[in-house]
Order: sequence, then structure tokens, then C-alpha cells
Amino acid sequence: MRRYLLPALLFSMILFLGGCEEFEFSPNQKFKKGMPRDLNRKNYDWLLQRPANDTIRVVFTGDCQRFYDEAEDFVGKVNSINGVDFILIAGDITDFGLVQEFDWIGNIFSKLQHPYFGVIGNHDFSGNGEDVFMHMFGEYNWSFVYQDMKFILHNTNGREANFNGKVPDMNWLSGELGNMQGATRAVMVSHVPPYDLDFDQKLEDPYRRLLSNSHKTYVSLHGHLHNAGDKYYYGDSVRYINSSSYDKHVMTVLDFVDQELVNKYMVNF
Amino acid sequence: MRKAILILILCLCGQALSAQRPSLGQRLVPNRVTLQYAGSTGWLTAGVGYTLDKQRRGSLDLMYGYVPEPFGGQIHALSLKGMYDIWPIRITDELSVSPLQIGMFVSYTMGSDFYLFWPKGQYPFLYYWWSSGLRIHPILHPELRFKPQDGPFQGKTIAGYIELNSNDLYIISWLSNTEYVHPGRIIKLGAGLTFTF
Repeated sequence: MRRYLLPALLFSMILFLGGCEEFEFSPNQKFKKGMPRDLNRKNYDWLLQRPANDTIRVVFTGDCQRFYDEAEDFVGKVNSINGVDFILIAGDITDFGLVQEFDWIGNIFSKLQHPYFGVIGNHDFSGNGEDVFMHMFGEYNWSFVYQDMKFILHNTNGREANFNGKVPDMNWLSGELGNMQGATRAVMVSHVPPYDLDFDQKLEDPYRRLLSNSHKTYVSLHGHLHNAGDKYYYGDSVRYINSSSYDKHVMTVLDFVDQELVNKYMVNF
Repeated sequence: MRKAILILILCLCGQALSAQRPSLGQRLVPNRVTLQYAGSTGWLTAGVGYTLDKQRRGSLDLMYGYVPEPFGGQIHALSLKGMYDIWPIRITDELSVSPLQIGMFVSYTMGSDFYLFWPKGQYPFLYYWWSSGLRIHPILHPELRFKPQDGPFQGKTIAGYIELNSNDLYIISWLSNTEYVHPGRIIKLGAGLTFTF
């Protein structure tokens, strides 16, 4: 009987281990049971229910792709900052576009004490990633109005569409800037900045003109470059601000008062 | 001298061929079928395969898996799975257990969103370093085998197994995040039945 002891032990160990884990159909699933759903819309409802004051304080980040340990540090730090209204993640939420990665980020960010909004990045398109993004966050091109400010979240990952002239969606953008839904100013939020090679070159000029000629927006927020930046890139009225990736352990905090960007802080985490 | 060696080789070959072995044609016919639930190859996966040696410790299976829409699909995937049974343990004449059957499978997800190689015109070389269509999964595949000694299935083997797998991208995620990611987060399960005839 003794000779069965070890295999029996091994087998029960494996079964025990198995008990902690999940049955996976495919790493490329478009969603999985128990993962967050429609977060942008739900978090907007949450944002509207929270008490507001004169300052809109936005924590602006991007590129948390495969930086889970850092994302946990980030959440801890954000929760210790006073007066945060919401958090923006300017794309590359995942590295490989896998549902498991979205779910891990959802799990880590569920500990945030403030609403957060996701924008799609080029890495989030890999495989079925765009479907997972839509399941978890909602439409790529989506906007919300908060205290007379409109935040326009949109897809600028031109290379993922093989530069087909449709990304970013210029018609949608001009519609959004044309109908401000009661807001006086708009903040653009997207992943690839127009001056990057992954932006559709044919649309760079129309895009920057649309922004500066609208006289509705003066701030365009981007990720993708992994290094913080802040520049009136085209010498017009629009200020292009870039976020750091999570491995740099620094986030950008933006304070808006009376629809103006009055302060920008870099906060280490 | 060279002639002698040639004759010797021919004799050996002849010997090998004349021995009581199944012909190439017979050996190409699969000798086992598998039906699997989950296990990262599909919601439901069916496969045909071979045992590779007389002791039936090595095996190779070709599998097709499908994930329907309500479970996160649609996904169609082909998998090639190779295993070796390190430690088969006989319990009775009919029953045996293999706690340490290990191996790996490569799985290819079909469809226009999945690339074996990223399209050259669209992406610069090594823009993305991984393949979105192809995953490599190491596995641990403990199995309980039942081999009836009489009746219609005499000599056949029915095996039930659970399979633990992870994949290249999950393991890389774990290696770069040793606090948040742990084995429990990257090991996924499947279960199935194999019938060897």
C-alpha cells in the first residue's frame, strides 16, 4: 500500500492546486465570466453621483501594459491623493490584448476609490483585444461631460487599421466638437499622438487643424511614447501632454478650474 | 570494403522491415481519440492521436477546439499536443495512474485577427515580438487509466484526465510581475477523456 502513498499525495496536490484555478476555454476569449463590463459608462454614472467642487482633478496615465506590480503601487498612491475626481488611462491597458490581462488590470483597478476611464491603445488591438476592450470599457470613440467640460476619448491607432484613413474617425470627432452638449471646453484623450509614426500620416494635418480651429479644445492627452511630455507641438493653441508608462513610476495630475487647466503635477508612486 | 558495408546496411534494413511490425500505412492511422473540456484549446476540443512507443508513454495528438459565442468566442483553434508519461504506476491489472505526465502543446487560433507572422507592409520588423496566433503551452496532464481485461473493450484503454496548462505570454507576465502574478493566476485547467484502441 505504501507505494501508492506518494502518487496519491501528488494527485491530491494537483487536484488541490486545480481547485484554486479556473477552466479556460482560450487565452483569446473575447470576454470571460466575472470580468468587469461596460466600465466607462458605469464609472461615468458613479462620477455624477459623487460630490463635486470647483476643481476637477484628473489623474492622467497610460501604458500600464504588463506592469501589474507597478499598477498596484499606482492604485495605492492614487487613493492617498486628495480630491481626485477620476483617472484616465490613455491606452495600452494590455501588452498582448489578452482577456486575462484586461481582467488582471480590472482586478487591480477595482481597488481604486475613484472612477476610471479606459482608452484603446495599439497593443489592445492584438488578437481579439479590441473585442475585450469593448466588453470591458465600451465603445472606442466615446465622450462624457463633467462640470461643463467634455472629455473626448477616441481611437487614434492608425497603424492597427493599416492607415486606412478612417482612424481617427474625423467625422465623429468634428461632430463631437461641433455639438458640445452644454460643455464649453473639451479635452481630447487618445493613445497615439498625431506627431507619431503610428498615427495615420494622411490625417495628421486635418486632425491638428480640427483641434486648433475648433476653439473648443486646448489640451490633447496621449500615451504611447512611455515618457512624460508637454508641448505646444504645432505652435498653435493646443497643448499636447504625454503620460509616462507605469514602469517609470510617475503619474500626471491635472487640475481644471473654470474649464482651464490651471495646474499640472508629476506625482511619483 | 564499401560494398560489404552497403550489403550489411541492406541486410539490417531488410531485417528491420521483415520483423513483425505494422506497415507505414497502418502506423499512420491514429490509435486514440480525445474529447476535452476547456484546457485553453477550446470550450470543447476533439482530437485524434498516436501513442508513440510500445509502452505507450509518449503520445502525440492533433486537436480542434471551438469556443461558441456565449463562452467568449467564436474561436476556432488547432492544437498539436505532445506528452511523455514520466511515471506510470500500475494499481491493478485494470487500473493505473500517471501523476506525472508532462508535455506541451502549440495552439494556433484561426481567423483574420490572428497572425502567425505580423503583416510586413503594416508593421516594421519586430514591431510586436510575439505571434498573436500561436501560443506555446507547457502542460501537466495527470491521468487515471482503465484497461478492461475482458468484455468488448478488452485491451483498450479509457483514460480520464485533468490538465494544467500555462502559456508563453502568461509566463512572461509572471516573470516580470512576481508580486501580483503568481502560479495560481497563470495556470489554467481542462479535463477530458482519451480512448486508446
